[in-house]
Amino acid sequence: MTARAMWKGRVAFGDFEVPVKLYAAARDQRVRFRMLDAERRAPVSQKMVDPASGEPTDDVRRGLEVERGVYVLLTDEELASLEPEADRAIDVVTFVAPEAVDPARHERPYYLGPDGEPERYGALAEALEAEGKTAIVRWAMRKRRYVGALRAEAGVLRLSTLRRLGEVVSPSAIDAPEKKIDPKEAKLAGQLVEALEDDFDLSEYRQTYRDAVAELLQKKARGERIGRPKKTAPKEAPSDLEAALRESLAAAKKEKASA
Amino acid sequence: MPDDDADVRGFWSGTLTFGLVSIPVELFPGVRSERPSLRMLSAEGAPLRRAYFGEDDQELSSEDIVRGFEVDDGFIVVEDEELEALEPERSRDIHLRRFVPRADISPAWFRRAYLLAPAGESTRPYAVLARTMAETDRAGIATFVMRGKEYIVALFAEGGVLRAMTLRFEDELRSPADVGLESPPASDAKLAKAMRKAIAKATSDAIPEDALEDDRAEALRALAEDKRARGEGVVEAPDVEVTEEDDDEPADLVQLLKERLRSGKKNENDEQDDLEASTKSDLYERAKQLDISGRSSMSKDELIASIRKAQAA
Repeated sequence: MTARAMWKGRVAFGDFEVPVKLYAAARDQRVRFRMLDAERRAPVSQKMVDPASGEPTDDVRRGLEVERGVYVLLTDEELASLEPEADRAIDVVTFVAPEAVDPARHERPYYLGPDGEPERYGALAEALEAEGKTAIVRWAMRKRRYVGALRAEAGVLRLSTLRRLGEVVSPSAIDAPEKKIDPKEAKLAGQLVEALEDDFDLSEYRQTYRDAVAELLQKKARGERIGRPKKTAPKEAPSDLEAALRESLAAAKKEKASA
Repeated sequence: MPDDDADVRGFWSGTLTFGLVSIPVELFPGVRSERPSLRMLSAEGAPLRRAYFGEDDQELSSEDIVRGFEVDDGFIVVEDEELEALEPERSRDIHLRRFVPRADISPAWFRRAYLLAPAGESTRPYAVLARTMAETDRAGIATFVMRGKEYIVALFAEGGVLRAMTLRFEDELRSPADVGLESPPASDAKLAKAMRKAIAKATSDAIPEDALEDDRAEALRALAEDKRARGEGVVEAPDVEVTEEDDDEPADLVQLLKERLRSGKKNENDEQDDLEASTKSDLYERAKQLDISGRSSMSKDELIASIRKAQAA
C-alpha cells in the first residue's frame, strides 16, 4: 500500500522551483495498547484537572514559564500571531558537504516525491547527487518552522528535519581520556577493527520484542501464560589490554575465514 | 562523569565489548530540547494535571488502569509483568561486532544521539578504541538492551570521545516504493546542468547557524517578557506537575526514570540514599507511581518523607 503525502510544497533556490509532496519515511511499528478502566474493561478518557478544585476543566489557558514557578498567560490570538506564514516554500539556505551535517542533529526522516512536473524533480535529484551535496533548507509546515537537510539517493529526494545547534550536547562535555597510547596496542586495535570490517545490512537486525508481544496476545486469547527473564552483571576492563586485543584478533580472523 | 553542564547526566552504565576487550562505559544524552514549552494552566494560573476518567466520570488511579489490545469483540488485557517477561534479556553489554565506513550509514536511520563516556578505573581501552576509529574513519555498529528494548547503535569517534546514534530498525522505515517512488522520475538534463552550476555557486563549508535560528522561540519569549514587564497575565504557581504541550519528543527519559525507580525498589538501602540524591522531578515521578495524594504541592523534603512512609506501609 502506498503511503499518503502529508504535505505539499515546493523546493525553491535561486530561480528554480520544484513542486513536491512530503511523505513520512519513519513508521511506528509498536503494538498499540489502549488504557482501560480495570474494573469495567472500557477505554478511559483523558481530562485536564484543576488542582484547586480537583475537578476536570475545559477552561485551559496556555502559559510560558519565565522564571521557576512564574508563568505569563498567553492568549490564543497572541499565540496565533507567532505562527509562521505558510507559504509552502522549502527554501534552500545553502549547500554543504554531507559530512558538515552532524549526525546528532537528525530528527525525523521524510521522502519528497514529485507533485507534477516530474522532470524538475528528476533534475534536482540528479544535480544534488552529481555534486555530492546536501541542501540545508527551512520551511514552515503545520504552524511550525523546520530546518532540514535535503539530499538525493538513487534519484530519490530525502529530507531530514534537523535539531538546532544548541540542542546538541558537544562531545567536549565528556572528558576524553588523555592517555598516551601504546603504539603496539594501537596497531592491534587497528587490525581488529579491520578484521571486524564488513558491509552494513540493516535487515540483519531484528526487533524480537514486538513479535513476542504479538505472540503473547495470541496466547492470551487462548488463555496461556509465559516465563520470567534473567539478569547479568557488568564486566571489568581487561588488565592486560594487549593480550585481550591479540586474542580478539585471532578469534575475529578465525571467524572471517570460516564465514 | 561530571562536567560543567548540569543537564548532562549519565543514566546507563554498562560494558562496551569489542572482541574480548571489555570497556566500562556510561551513556549520556547527546541532545536536549531547546524549545520553550507552553504549560496548560487554569484561568487562575495553576498548572493543570492530566488525569484519566472511567465511564462514570470517576477519576482513576494508576492501579485502576490496565492495558488492553483492541480486537473485534473487545480487548485483550495485558499486565505490565507479562510485557516485562517478554523484554529481551537484561544485559549490560553493548556488543560492538562490526565496523563500517562512516558514509555507509544513512542519515534516515538516525534516531537519537548519545555520548558514551569511559567509566571505571582503566580508560586506556576506551582511548585506544576511540583513536583507532577516528584514524580509520570507521563507525562501529553495536547492539544493546536498554530498559527492556533492543537497540542498534552506530558509534562514531570525535575528539577522543565516542558518540552513539541509535538507529531505526529496517521495518521502521518506509522504502521509496512505499511512497510510490519505486522508479524515480527521469531528469530534465538541461535543467539539471543549470542546477548543478547554481549548487556549485551556493555551496558553503559549514551550516550557517545564524540563518537557521528559531525565531518563534525568540518571539514567544519576547512576547512573554513584554507582558511580564507590563504586569499582564503574570501568575505564580508552585513548582508542581506540569503538562507539556507540543511535546513530540519520545518519552525516552521518562521511561528511563521509571526503570531507575523500579530497579531501585529492589534494594532498600540503595533506595534511602537514592531519595536524597534525587531531583525534585524524580521524586515527583516516584510519588506519582506510589499515588501519594497532595504530591503536587509538596516540597522536596515532604516528597521524600511521604515516599518513605508509603514504602514502609
